[in-house]
Amino acid sequence: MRGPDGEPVPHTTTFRPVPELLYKQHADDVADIHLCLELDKGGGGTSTAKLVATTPNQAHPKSRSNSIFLSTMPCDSDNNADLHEMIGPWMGDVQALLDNGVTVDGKLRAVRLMLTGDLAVSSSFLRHKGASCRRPCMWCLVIGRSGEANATAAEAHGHIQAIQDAPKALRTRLNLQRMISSLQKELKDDLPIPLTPAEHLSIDYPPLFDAEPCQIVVAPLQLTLGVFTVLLRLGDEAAALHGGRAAAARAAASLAAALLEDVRVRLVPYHGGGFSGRECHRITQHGAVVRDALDGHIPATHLAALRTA
Amino acid sequence: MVRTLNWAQEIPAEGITDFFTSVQRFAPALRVGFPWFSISPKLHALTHHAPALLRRFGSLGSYAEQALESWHAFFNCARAQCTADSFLGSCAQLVRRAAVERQPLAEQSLRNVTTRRSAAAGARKSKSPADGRL
Repeated sequence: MRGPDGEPVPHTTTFRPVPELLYKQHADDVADIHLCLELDKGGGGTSTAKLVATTPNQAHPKSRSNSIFLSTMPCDSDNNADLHEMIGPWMGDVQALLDNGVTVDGKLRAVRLMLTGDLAVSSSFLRHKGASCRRPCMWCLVIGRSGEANATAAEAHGHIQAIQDAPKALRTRLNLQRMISSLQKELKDDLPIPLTPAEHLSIDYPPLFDAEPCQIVVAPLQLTLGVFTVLLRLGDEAAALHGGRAAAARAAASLAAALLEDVRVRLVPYHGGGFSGRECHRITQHGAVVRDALDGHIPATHLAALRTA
Repeated sequence: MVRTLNWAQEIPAEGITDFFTSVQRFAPALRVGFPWFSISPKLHALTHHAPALLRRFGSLGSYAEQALESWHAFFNCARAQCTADSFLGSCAQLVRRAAVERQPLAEQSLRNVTTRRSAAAGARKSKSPADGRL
């Protein structure tokens, strides 16, 4: 845990649980452990959703023997009801851990909950509408749509395409708590008055848990995979724009040959048919080879942009 | 950038600064070269929220979803050993094996890599002239 100056914050305060009060996130100087709850679906054949708990405060935090496999279920459909069935029973235990802390080496420590997993899973956890809604980000209130209806909100909270501007307003735990109370009330009501977009903030059902949005992990593996696909696709799109469909086919063939023969990576049947994590590192190491494969197929300006990125 | 994103260790302050700089440069450079390029929520998260998380917690790889991917791989291999009448039954067997039977032997089977125990003292000594060891 680091402070605003980037220096580690020393643990100077002991955690003292107050079970009679509502749970409140502890301060940074309180001795704590971080608990990562990870949920995702995957695996060959009939895929299964798996719920895993890990603690990053140790050596080899991602080793299988250092993680706790909590639950699994086959996911023919991955709707919210299935998510509730799987995670719901564990949330009581998680809340008890947050309230009471955990004893490590005879000393009581607070627990800081971190949510990890694919962005779609985290969205479902918060009952957020997903990547294509009006406010597509789980961490901030940035607007993802254009048009007159969204102009005022975009001015107030920023637009996702204005990538150089920092987000103007972040989501908070208080937002989620408000959503839980107001949406539960709306569900119970016979004639509910629907919330306005400014009120529901693209959350359509009561969130499963009021986690701190700033402690939702940004899914580094998924980001790596997503960004690599985008870069390769952009190169091919530039070839299509410059020379038409035939040029795009030639660029794709050249790119594929470089990846297969020079970089020696291949597509995997999972992760949406992309590259697996370790192979992304190989593509990074051989980035020049990949870019050289596009030389002659796309204009120099586009190639220069790929080199700069 | 990719290395910092996935490294499961504390990143030093200069590494965080480098990551911040390269992430800030990444998307605008693509927007200049490829005007039709649309910023996805993933890229927005990479540009704005990944550096904030890295600054606060000192590492992103330690919080990444690699453990889960490892369990997916383990389940693919262990499925043959966790046979039951139904798919749900084999899932239940796997959970039991992972959580309930955390005996030393089970612990060994959950490790990511196979480790070879060092040979007993004197076991590698040549015993006959035909052993090929001088």
